[in-house]
Amino acid sequence: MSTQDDAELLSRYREGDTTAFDEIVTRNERRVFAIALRICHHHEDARDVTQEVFVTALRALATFRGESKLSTWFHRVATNAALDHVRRRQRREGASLDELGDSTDPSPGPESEAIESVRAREVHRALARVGVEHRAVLVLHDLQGLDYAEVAAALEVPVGTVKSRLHRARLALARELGHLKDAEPSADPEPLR
Amino acid sequence: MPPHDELDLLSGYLDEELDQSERARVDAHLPGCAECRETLAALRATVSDLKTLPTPEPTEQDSWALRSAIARARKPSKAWQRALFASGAVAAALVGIIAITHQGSNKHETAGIAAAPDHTVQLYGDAQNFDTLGAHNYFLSVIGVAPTNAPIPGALPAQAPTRGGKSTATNQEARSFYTYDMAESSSEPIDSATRRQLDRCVRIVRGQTQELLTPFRYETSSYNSTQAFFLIFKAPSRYEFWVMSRATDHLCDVLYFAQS
Repeated sequence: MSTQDDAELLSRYREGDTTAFDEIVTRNERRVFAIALRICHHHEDARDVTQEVFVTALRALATFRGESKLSTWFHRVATNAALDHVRRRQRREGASLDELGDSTDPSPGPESEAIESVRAREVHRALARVGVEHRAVLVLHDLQGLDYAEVAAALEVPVGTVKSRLHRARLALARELGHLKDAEPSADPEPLR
Repeated sequence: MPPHDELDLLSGYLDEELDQSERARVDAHLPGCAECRETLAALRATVSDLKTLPTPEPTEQDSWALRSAIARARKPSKAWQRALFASGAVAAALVGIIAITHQGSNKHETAGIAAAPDHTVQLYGDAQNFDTLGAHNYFLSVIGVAPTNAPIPGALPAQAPTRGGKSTATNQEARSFYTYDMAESSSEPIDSATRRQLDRCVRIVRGQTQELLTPFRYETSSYNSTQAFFLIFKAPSRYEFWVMSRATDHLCDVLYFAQS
């Protein structure tokens, strides 16, 4: 979606053309849903987050000043909404701060059923086991294809933070997937023989 | 092994996001460092694994739920706001057209507001031309009350009820027909002439009462062969159902009224 198209749509929306908002929904729904599902891991949560994002957009875009791209705005709002959703769920369920775990997902929903490859299913589960902040940066960069600057804009952090967070996130996922041995020094090293 | 901060640059190296000097450092460091080479390979494999994940797609139900949520959240349009604050002059002209309350439905008063179903609604009668019983059952189904077979007392105009075929429609199937939030929803835009008619009818209904009536659903259909609006409003403790003529020479005449 070009910035020019965005500007035209937003301008039409501000002038009261409600079909412009429907067009904005159509263009961004899949992007928002994909971010929400990969961060939340649960289909129902992703549906709730997606609704929350667009209901927010209904109000917020009326005064959107267009200083960033509309897609960047959706990346940021979707990521924040998904992170909040996960944190609320974790507080409610007393789950570990960093892990969703499969046990919390009694009905994984159509998405995980649709993953046919065995490896992809393993990746799907491993992604749920890394910390939610790590998961967010992996989703935005490695799944959504944003570059470092775009991820920084979406997460509202400096590019340097994205660089180090993405690196730590990949290392964490690499350990979950068995590509790396646990890098943490063992607290109880084997005795010398 | 001496500390080597090149390890922390490996993701940036993989993504080609390092500046020239950092990249040169990593290039010089890698041949002599097995740990960094292994880590780089692990990062590559991890990124490659992530690519195996399909892009999740919202289902049709998700999309429908999203659009319903948006329609619910939409503020009343300017036209509706104008209607709300319009003078009661037009409404005064309607005094004397007294709507008739369907006493039989009073028992549903407490079944009430919260019961409105969102998923499955029964359709009775000819969906293109409702008779009185059909219209009344349309109302009951929208507010989540079991349909009635009893003749509707006091219906205007009086007509022997005729039951038509019965069908069950899912939310999505029924959407184009009557599941239409009165809060402006442009997923099925209506033309401006119809919108003006609708505004006028709503203004008249609201002029009848001091209570706040919130538009809930509307449908454009036919009632005993007269083009009509089916308007359902939420009042604080009940629903009101107004069938009003759309015929140009009888615009907004009340053809039928019921409340829960």
